[in-house]
Amino acid sequence: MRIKPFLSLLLFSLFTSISFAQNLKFGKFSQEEIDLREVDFEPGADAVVLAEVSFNSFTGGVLGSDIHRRVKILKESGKDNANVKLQFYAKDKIEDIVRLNAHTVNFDGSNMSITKLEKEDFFEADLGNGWKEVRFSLKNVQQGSILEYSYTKISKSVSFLDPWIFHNDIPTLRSTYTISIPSYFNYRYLPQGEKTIACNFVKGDGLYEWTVTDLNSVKPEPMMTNYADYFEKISFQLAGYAFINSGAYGGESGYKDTYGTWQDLTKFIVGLEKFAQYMKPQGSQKDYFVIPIKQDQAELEKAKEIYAWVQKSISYNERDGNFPSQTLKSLIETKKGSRPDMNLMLMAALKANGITAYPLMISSKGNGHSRLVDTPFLDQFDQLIVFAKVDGKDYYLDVTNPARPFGYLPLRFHANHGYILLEEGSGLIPLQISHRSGISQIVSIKPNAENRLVFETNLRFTDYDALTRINEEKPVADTLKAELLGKEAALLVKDFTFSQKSEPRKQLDTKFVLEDEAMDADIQFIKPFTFMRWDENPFQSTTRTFPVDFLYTFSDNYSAQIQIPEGYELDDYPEAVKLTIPTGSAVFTYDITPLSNQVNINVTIALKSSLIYPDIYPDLKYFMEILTSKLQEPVVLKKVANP
Amino acid sequence: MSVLYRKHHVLIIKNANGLDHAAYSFHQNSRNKLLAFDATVTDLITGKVVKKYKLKDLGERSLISDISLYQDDREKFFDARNFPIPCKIEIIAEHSSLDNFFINSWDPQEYWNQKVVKAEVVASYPPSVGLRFREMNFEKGPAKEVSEGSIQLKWVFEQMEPKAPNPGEDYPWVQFAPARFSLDGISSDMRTWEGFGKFYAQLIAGKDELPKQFKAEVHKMVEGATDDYEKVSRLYSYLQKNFRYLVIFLGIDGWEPRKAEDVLETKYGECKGLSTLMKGMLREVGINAQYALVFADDKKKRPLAPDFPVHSFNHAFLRIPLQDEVIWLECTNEFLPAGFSGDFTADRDVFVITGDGGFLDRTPKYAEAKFHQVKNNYSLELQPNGDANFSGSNTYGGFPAIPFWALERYADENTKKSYLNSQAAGSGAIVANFSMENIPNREVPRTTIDYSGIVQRFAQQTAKRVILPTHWKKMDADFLGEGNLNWEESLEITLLPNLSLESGIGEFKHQDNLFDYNLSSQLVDNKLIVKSNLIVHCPEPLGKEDKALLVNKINDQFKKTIILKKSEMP
Repeated sequence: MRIKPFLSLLLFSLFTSISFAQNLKFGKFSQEEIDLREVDFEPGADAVVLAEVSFNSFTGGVLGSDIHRRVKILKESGKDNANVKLQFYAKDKIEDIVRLNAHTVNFDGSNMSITKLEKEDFFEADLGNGWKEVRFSLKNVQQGSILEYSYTKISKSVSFLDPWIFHNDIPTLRSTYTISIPSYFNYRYLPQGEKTIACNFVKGDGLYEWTVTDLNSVKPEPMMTNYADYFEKISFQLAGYAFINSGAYGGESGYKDTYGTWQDLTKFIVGLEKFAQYMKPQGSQKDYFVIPIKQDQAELEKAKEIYAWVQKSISYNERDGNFPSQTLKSLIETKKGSRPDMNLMLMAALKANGITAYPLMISSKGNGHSRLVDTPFLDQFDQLIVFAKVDGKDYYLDVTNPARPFGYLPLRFHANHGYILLEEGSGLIPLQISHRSGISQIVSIKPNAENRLVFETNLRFTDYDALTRINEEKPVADTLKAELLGKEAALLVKDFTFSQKSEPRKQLDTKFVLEDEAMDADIQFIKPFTFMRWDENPFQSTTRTFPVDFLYTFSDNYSAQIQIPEGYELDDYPEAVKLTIPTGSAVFTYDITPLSNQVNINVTIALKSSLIYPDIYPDLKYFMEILTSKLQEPVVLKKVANP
Repeated sequence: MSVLYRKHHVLIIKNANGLDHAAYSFHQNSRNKLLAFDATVTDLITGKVVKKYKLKDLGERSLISDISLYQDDREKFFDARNFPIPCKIEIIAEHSSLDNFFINSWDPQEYWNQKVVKAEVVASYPPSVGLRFREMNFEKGPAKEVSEGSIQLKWVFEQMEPKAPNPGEDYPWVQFAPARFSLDGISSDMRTWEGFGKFYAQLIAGKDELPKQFKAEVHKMVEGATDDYEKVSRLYSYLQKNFRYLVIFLGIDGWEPRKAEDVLETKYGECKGLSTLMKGMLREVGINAQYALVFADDKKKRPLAPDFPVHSFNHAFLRIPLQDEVIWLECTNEFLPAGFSGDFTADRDVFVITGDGGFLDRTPKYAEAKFHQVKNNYSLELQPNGDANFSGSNTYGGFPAIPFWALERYADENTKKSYLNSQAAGSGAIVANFSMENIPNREVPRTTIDYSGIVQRFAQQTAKRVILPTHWKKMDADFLGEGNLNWEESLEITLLPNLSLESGIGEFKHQDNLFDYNLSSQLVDNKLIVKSNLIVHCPEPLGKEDKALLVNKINDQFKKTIILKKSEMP
C-alpha cells in the first residue's frame, strides 16, 4: 500500500516526460514553460527554443515536413527572435511552404492573451536563382512572451533531404526530428555530434526519431572558422528505391540502388552534362590544351607551368561549390569561372599533357562536416579541388588565386580526407598536406659609431606563414613593411628589403634595421626581438565553447645576439623557460646564454596541432600570456664604473 | 508629373572583370516601371552577334535592403556573364516614374577602370514644372535649348581616362531635383526648404493620433514628473522597453510613416513609425516634438545645401525644443538615455518639419568633455610569479559609456565578463566578480563598474628585477571617438616585501598638438601609486589612419615602466 502512490507518481512523471517529448500542441503550454525565466545551462540567455519538432513523412515521392517551433523571450534583447525567415527552393515547385501559423502568447497572471498573425502578415521574398523565403514577424512581443509558429514544407527533392540542425543561435531545450520512411525508400543517414549519435532512434515500422536536449547557443568565438562543423545534426541521402513500371510490357518492378557505392556516385557525377566535358574534352576543346610548354622536362615542372597557365588564362568569379557552373566550352569562351570550373579545367589541362589528375571533393572548414563518413554521401562535400600524381608524389591543387603557388591550398581547405573521383576505385582518401610553416627571426644587436644600439633583423616566413602575409603577386615594400611591423613601427625602420620565392617552397625574406636611442643611461634595458607572432594575448575570454583553430601548425625560431657595448656589462636577463600545454600541442622554450661580451637568446614556439579543444583553453590562454609577456622581457646592461 | 528615362549604353568589354560594367539593375515598384529593354552582345573577334536580350529575358528578384525584414520592391536585372571576351554590349532601356519627387542623378563615368569615350545626358522638362540641378565636383554648365513648352539641358563629357579604384576620390556627377512636384495627390514646391517642409507636414499630419485608452496610459506614465525632460525620459524608456525596431515596407511605406496606432498594436516599427508614435505620446503630455529627417550613418555625413533643397535622407527622428535647450530623440535606439543619440546622427545637417513648413538645423557635436570621459582606478597585489590580484573601479561618461549600455541591454554574464577582461581591464585580466551600473546624467550616459579578479603576468621579470607598467589599460581607438577624450587612471600596486625601487618614479609631462599627458608616481610604504591623466583635443574629426597613429603615440607614452629590484624574500 505504501509503494503504490510512489509508483503512480513515477508513472505519472514518466508519462508527462514522454508527453512533453513527443506532443507539441499549438497554444498548449506546460506550467514549466510558462514559468521558465532562465536557462539553467546558459544563464543570461535572452531567448530559448523551448521545443521544436520536425515530423517528416512521404506521400508517394513527395516529402512533407511538419515543423513546429516554440520560443520563449527571456529578456527584452531577445525580441528579435520574433523575426523569422524560412528559405525554400521554389524553382519548378521543387519545394514549397504551406499551412503557416504563427502567434504570440503573453501571460498576465493566469490570463493568457494570443496575438495571431493573419495571412497578409506572411511575406514571400524572391531571392533569385529559384530561391524564395517566407518572412514574417510576430506581433506584440514582450519579455516573457512565448512565440510559436508551424508550417509544412513540401519537397519533391528526395535524393538528399534537408539536414536538420538541432542547434540554434539561442539555447535549445529540446529538438526532435522524426521521419517515417516508407518501405519503397531506403535512406542512408549521417548523424553528427555526440548527442545525435547517442540517440536511440529506431522506433519500428519505418519510424525513426532523434531527440536532442539542452543544447547551448552557437555564437562565434575568436579563431573559430569552423563552428558549423560541431553542430548536432542529422542528414539523409537516398540509398535505393522500389519501383513499378506498369507501362513496360507485362509490367516491371524491382529495387534500384542509388549511388550504392562511391563508384556509382562517381558515375552519376561525371555523367552530368557540365561535368562530362571536363572529364573528356571533345574536338576543339582538346586543341585548347595544346599549351606552349616544354614537353621534355620533368613532370613537376610541366605541371607547374600548366598550373600557371590556367592561373593566367582564367579569372575567378568568387563562386564556390563542388559542381561546375558551366561547360568547358563556355569557360574557354568567357575566361571567367567558379572554383570548380577552374579546377576542373586545370585537371583537364594536366591530363591532356600526360599528367595523372582527378577531381577531389572535400568538406572545407565550416561546411558542417567535421568527420566524413565512408559511405557515398555527397552532401558531405562543398568544394572541388584537384588531386594530381606528379613524379610519384601526391599534390592537392586549387588554381583560383593567382598569388598561390603550385601545391598550396586555402587554409580552410586543409581537410583530413577527400572523395576522389576515379575511373575505378573512387572513394575517400586521406590527405597528407605537408608543409613547414614557421617564422625564423635572427636579430643582431650591436652598437654603432654613435653609440646607438643597432638591431639588424632577418625575418623569414615559410610556407603558410609566407602566404598569409603576401596578399598580392607583387607586394609593395612600404605596404608590406607596415603590414608586418605596424604603421608606427614601420616609420622607424631603416633599409627595409624583401624578397620572395616559390621554389622549392614559398618563402618571404625580409631584412631591416632599427636604431635605438644613444646609450647614455647607467642601466640599459634591451628588448631583443623586433617581431612577434602575437604582440599580445589573442585570447581574452575566460571560457570557450568550441575548439580554437589556428588553421595550420607551425614552428618558429627566434634568436638574438646582443654584443655588449664597451663600457657596459651584463647585469641581468630573463630567466630560461620551457612551457607546454597539457596535450603537448603547443611548446615554448626560452634559453639565454651569457658569454663574455655577448648574450645569446634562443626561442622556439611550436604549434603541433592546429586545433586546441576547449577543455584545455584556460591552459592555452595562460600559455599565451606567459609567451607574449616573456618575449617583451629585457636584457639589462649596466655601465661599468671604471672602464 | 511623371518622368521618362531613356538610356543608351555601348560598352566595349576587354577583360572578364569589365563584364560587371554592363550589369543593369532596375528597382521596380508601384511608382517605377521598366518599359523597354534591349541588349545586344557582339563577339569582337568573330564580329558576330552572339546574344540578344529583351525585357522578358531579364532576371527578377525581390529587392530588400539589409535593414528590412521585407519590402515589396522588385529588382529586374541583366546579369552580364558568360560572354566571349572581348565583346561589345549595347543596352537600350526605358523606364518611367509616376512622379518627379525623386529624379535620378547622372554619373558620366560609372565605374573605376572604365574609359569613357563619350557620355551625354539630356534633361527635358516643361517650364511650368521646372527642374533644378547641381554640378558636383565640376563646373561647366549645361548647353540650354528652349523651345515651345520645353526646356532642354545637355551635358557632354568626352575622353575621360580610366580611374584606379580610390573610394575617397571626388568624381563628377549631376544632381537633379524638381522645382514643383506632386506625390500621391500632395503638390508642393521643392525650391525652398519651407516649401518642401509643407509637403512633409501634410504627409505626416494626423499620423501621430493616439487611441483614447492609450492616451490615459501615457498620462499615467508621466505622473509626478518634475520637468519636461523627465517626461520625455520616461516616455522614451517606455518606447525602448516595449517596442522593437523592425522594417517592413509595403507600397509607399519607404518614406511615409505608419500610423502611431498601428505601431502600438504590433509593438514594432521603423524609424518613421517609432518617431511618429513618440511624437504623439509627447504631444499628449504637452511637449511639441518635431519630426526631423537626416542622412544618418556611423561614418558618412551628407551636408544639406540651403539653396538646393532635395530629398537626401535615410532616417527620421525627433527634435524636441525644451524650455532651455533642444534635445534630439533617436527612437530606434533601445538603450541610450533620452537626448543622446551617439554618432549615428551627431553633427549633421537636419531637415526639421514644422506644422506648416520646415527648416534646416544641425545636431549637436557632443564635443564637451562630459561626453568623452574615462576614469580607471585599479588596486593590485603583486604575486611572486608576476601575476596579481586586482580590484578595479571604472567610470565612463558619454561615448565611452555606450558599449556598456549596449552590454547591459544585450549581453549575458559571460559576454559581459569577456568584455570587461578585454575592454575595461588591461592585458591578462580574468574578471571573477563584477557589478555594473548605468546611470544617465540627463542626456549623458554614464557607467560605473566595480570588479575584481586576477591578472596573469601583470609584471615582467628578469633574474634580478621586476618591471611594472605605469598603465594597465592600453589606449584603444574606440575610446577616441572623433578625437576628444578625458582620461584618468590610477594604479595602487601593493609590492612584495623583497622588492625595492630602482628607477622610473617621478613626474612626467608630454604635450602634443593633439594631446596633453601627465604621469606621476610615488612609493608610499610598500605601495606604488601611479596616477596619470590624458586630454585628447583634436580640432577636427580624425580619419581612421590618423586616429591609429594617434593611438600609437599615446600608447608609446603609456609604455613607461617602473623598475624594482629583487632581494631574497625575508
